[in-house]
Amino acid sequence: MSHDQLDQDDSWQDDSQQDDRVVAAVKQYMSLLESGDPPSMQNFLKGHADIAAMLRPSLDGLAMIHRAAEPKPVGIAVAPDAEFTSKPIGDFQIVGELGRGGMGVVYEAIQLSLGRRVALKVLPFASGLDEVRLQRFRNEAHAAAALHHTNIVPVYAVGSDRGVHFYAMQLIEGQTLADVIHQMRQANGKADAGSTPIEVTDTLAMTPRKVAGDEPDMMRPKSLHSTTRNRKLSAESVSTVLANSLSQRTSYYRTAVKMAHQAALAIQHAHQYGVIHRDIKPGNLLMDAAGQIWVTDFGLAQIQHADSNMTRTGDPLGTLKYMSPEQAAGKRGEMDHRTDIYSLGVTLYELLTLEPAIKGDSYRAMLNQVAEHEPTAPKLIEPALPIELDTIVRKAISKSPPDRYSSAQTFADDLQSWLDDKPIAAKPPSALERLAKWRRRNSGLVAMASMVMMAATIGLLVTTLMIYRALDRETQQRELAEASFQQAKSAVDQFSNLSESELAFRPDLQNLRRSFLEASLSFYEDFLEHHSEDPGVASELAATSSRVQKMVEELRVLDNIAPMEMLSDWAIQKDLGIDEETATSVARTIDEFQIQRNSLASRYVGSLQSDNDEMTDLLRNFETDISKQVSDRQLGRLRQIAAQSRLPFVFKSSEVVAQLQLTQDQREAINRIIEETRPSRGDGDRRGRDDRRRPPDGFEPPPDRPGPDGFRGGPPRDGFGDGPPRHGIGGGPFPGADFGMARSDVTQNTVKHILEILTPQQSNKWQAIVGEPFNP
Amino acid sequence: MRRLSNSTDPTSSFDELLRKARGGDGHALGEMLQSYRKYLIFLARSGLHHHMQGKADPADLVQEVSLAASDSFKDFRGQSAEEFAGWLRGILANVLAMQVRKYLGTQKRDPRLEQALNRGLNSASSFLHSGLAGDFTSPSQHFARNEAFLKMAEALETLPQHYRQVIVLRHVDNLSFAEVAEQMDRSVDSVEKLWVRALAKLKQTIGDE
Repeated sequence: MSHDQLDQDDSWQDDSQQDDRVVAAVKQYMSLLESGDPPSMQNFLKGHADIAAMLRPSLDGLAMIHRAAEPKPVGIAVAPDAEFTSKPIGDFQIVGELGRGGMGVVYEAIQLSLGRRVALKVLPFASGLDEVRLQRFRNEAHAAAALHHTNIVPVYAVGSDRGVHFYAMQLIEGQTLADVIHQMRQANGKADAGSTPIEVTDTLAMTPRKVAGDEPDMMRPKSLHSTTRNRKLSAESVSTVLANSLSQRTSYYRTAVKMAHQAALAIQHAHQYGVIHRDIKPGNLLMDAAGQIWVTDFGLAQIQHADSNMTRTGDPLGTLKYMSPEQAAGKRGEMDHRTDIYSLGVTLYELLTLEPAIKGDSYRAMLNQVAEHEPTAPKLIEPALPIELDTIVRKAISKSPPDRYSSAQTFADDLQSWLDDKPIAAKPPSALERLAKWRRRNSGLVAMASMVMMAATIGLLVTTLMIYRALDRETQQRELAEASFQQAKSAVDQFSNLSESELAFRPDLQNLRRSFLEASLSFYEDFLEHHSEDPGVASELAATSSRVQKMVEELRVLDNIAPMEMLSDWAIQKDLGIDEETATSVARTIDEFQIQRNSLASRYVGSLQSDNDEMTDLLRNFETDISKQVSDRQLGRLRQIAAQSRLPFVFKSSEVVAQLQLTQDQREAINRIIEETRPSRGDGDRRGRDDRRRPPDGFEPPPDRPGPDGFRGGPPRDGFGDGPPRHGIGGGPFPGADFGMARSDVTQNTVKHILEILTPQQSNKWQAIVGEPFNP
Repeated sequence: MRRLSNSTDPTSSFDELLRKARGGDGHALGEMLQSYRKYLIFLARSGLHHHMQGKADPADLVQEVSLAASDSFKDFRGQSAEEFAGWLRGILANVLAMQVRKYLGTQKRDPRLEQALNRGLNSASSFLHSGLAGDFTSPSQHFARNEAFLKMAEALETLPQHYRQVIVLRHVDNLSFAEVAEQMDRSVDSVEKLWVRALAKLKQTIGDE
């Protein structure tokens, strides 16, 4: 059947203008569905009343595919609950519904044999767990049921009846911390409900209040899988204006810390019995009427994460927000009890700042946030937050498990110390420690790790900047915006300085350095745009910006001539078909250039600024000279060989990124591939070499010259590493033409994986970039 | 062909069939397998992805799956329609892998193809299951939905080829419209329109039953 025939079947195909609007509306609805918080279809259709009739079938179809919209009982027949709830499930008679969510429905039920009221959680085994997995769940659930702790919701029974798996727990009257956060956000004007005065219930005061009458919004939109009966604590209790009084703030912080403390003790108890929760989040922490915290759903994470289908259902974004990096990466083997410490830390973060630590508007974006981006420091969001709490939270939510608290107990201890006004054990990392951390991260294959770090750092900057921008819009928050700007600017300053102090002397990292500088340049330009009205700031920014700009340009020239230096290698001359006469003259040009560069560089000892034009001229002249001696075709081939020599990192260079038009997702995927396929750190040989290459502490240059390993008859290197730090660009020979590494199986494997994520066009372009393999 | 939707109580009919089949009723087993045919064809088609289409007929592969399933039915231990689907999916994965090996035997080995194959199968089945399990709200709906994924697969299989293709590329393979356009060799604009129509058609197919 041809396309055309079919297309004519459709009634509205001729009205192309309306067509476009329908298409746009359906796409819009799709992005709303994907955002996880779609409006009801009725409401959405109201906004497109004139095309609603055409729109509806497509939206219905889309909703069927997404199933995130209001369930439409079309075709897929849906029976009322009554049929199910009328008969007892096992020993339990359902009497009411408490909540619904991604993890199933929670009913209020009566345990018939004992006549007590319980919370009955019915689990969604919709995608058919296999027997092994089901058994694993039962084991976990039974282990969880054996836990007895004042802060753990007791599990009464685990079982199945009529094909339904359930989990009966003590009924806790109260609300989840997700509710608390939600209410606090609204009360503090953080949510969209802007009309309410910024009064807040001191919900967290330990005195219980009963609700006076039914509250209108018993419909809670998210985090519904609580085992609680929703008893809102009264808004008539101690009302405070959080924004104004420091003492009220402090009292709120204390309350939040007490909650986290109780949760930490419960988690510690479970850990002692070998039970890891794996799904700690505000929705799983209940606060009863007496203000006591109860941790629920131990052992349930099993089923949620056991099956990739399941992780995607329900509220995937909500779940990702609290997932540790190792868990999000699916590294089950590496997951231990510290995943809970991370999740509790993130929960405390949100309690204190009323902002989620991990943000993102799509599953993928969020995943990257979890894996690679440090959240904004809590104190940046809540300037009144005591620095100790900022330190505690940041330690708990470290990306790398060894950087976190080693146990829930030590986490609890630090929280207790703060409550008691005693010094805490966690220390904010000093500048030196940060550097050490940076270095530590750089172990293994140095260049790769630092690129990953760069991604993380840029992520941090972007977040900082976003906050700064958001604040900037709110004029009443002027001061805060100013402080934030200073912070963001100093971060960018540090960033470019770090790049100059550390990377300028690393011939293998010139590409990275350029990316660093290019990144900071874009930030400066951004700052300039936003602060042009302040002459003092603007001129300072402009100066910095033009300095960085210049460095970037010089690096571009440097990049360009780097391959030219390879021309003195006979193997390359042979590949390019350069005759003997030209070869001799090219070699002379290169020699002269290198001598001049060395002499120039040593005249600017210690200067980190690329403020001399002589060097630039020298580089440019060299470029012109060489271009005259070899043909364009030969230069083209030379660039291909140079690209090969920089595998696999060449994929991260700005030229390749630009030429292939790599998307952000692809770039992140490439980072991951390089990271994952790199040789293990146990590779003694490589490690030894890296250690030699890595400068010792401080900013001194490496003690010995980094040889171009594995490159036969490489060109003479300039004096890199022989003297003290010199001119910012003078120290950079061509980026390590390390064919031994580029051709290794490991590299080839990495490249193979990267090629798999390219589109066909990109693959073609890539072929043009690297050309035939170079075989000296 | 028997339409699943015609049975008023799919769960009990499945239970009933399963009971009979376990009792050695070959007819019941045949009926069970028949009702999963479209589901398996959809998965096989997606699993074969773009690479091998034309090289193997999904319907033939599903025939092989059905044969293998009836031979080893005694190994199936599950109770629910979902579990049965999962079991069949496992067999299909083996059959597909075998097919790929056969196909690759005549050509040079290409691990990318094998990966694409597994990816295709995984994303297609998780699409069918998670899409429908996503709004799981009550156990009774769960019962009804036990076989809802069959219906979705059936509806997709009933769609005209290019409608199905646009939905699969966009929602199963998660390609952008630009990529879908490229795959289908059409303009982005026409692909988007096609997509909107395909959605309406899908709703019509499922809703009209």
